[in-house]
Amino acid sequence: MQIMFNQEPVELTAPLSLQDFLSQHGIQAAGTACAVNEEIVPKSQWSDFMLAEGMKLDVFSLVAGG
Amino acid sequence: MELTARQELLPDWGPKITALLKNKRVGVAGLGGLGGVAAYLLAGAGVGQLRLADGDTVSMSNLHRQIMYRGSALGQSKALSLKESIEALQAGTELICVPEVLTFKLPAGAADAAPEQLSHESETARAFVCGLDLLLLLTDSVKSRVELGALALELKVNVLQLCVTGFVSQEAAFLYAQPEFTQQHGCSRCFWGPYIDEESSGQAELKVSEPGAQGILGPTAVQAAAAAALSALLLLTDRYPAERKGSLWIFDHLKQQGRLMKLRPDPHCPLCQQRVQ
Repeated sequence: MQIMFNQEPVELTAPLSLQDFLSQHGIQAAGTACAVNEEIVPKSQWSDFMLAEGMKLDVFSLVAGG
Repeated sequence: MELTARQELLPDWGPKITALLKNKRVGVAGLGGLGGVAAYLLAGAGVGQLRLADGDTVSMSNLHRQIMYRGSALGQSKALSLKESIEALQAGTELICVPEVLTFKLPAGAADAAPEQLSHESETARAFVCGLDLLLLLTDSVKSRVELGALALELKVNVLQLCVTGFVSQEAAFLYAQPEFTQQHGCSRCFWGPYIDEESSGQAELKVSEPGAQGILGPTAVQAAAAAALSALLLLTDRYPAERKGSLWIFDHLKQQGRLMKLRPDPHCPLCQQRVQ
């Protein structure tokens, strides 16, 4: 199964939740936002959200300066 | 010659719009690189009432981007100094000045890491937000964005939030005055998550001398501030682009390119989703 992760193709060998994917890539939840197919996935749903073939995942830092 | 004369030469920005803006009340929370410049531009555009809040004072490391403050204002309250700058415009804007940090105690269950706050502080924030046509959330901490966002949600006041760090700015309009908005796009609490995040990620802006403080160029901050002011004018005149409503606009200031991500509600949000569950 292939997904696009920050515009790069990534091969997944087993079904994976968004949270597990982030953990495998060493990405901390704090200060991070995720969007799948250009829709933000709220943090409380990361554990239940299963990645699927062809999904476009964007992971980016939230900025907070004013 | 009127202050808005040049603006009124634009098609669709004539005297009717000037009159409309004259009747608008806009709150600006955070008067740093974003809020200070944005408030000044909104006064120049003819917004009738501006409420200005910031507990900070002007320091030397502010001046490269916070161009409405002068070296002579070092150490002075940003809110009071900005009031002087805007008064010098002679725009006739009514200015309400709160030289303190606005805080709001979140409802029970919504404040995972909220410190206990005195109720009178919440009352100051409530009076600040109540009756606004638009609240600009331009502070430098996630905590205040979540708290004041929650208050605006309760009072059904539209919010424009913009943040900038390094070469990235992120803008989102939370249109709480529209009844269906939170069902489709959630609220600022859905967006930020529990603000315990802030403590663990160090997202609050640090003083320039503190370890981990992040840098910014003057032009980046001013460009973001001008974008906030323009978006505010578009929201106030009901011309904000449809695709930007309910979206996060992420702008790369180095590439001068932006992209949109749709905002979605957190189904477990204690602030905006309880009633619809």
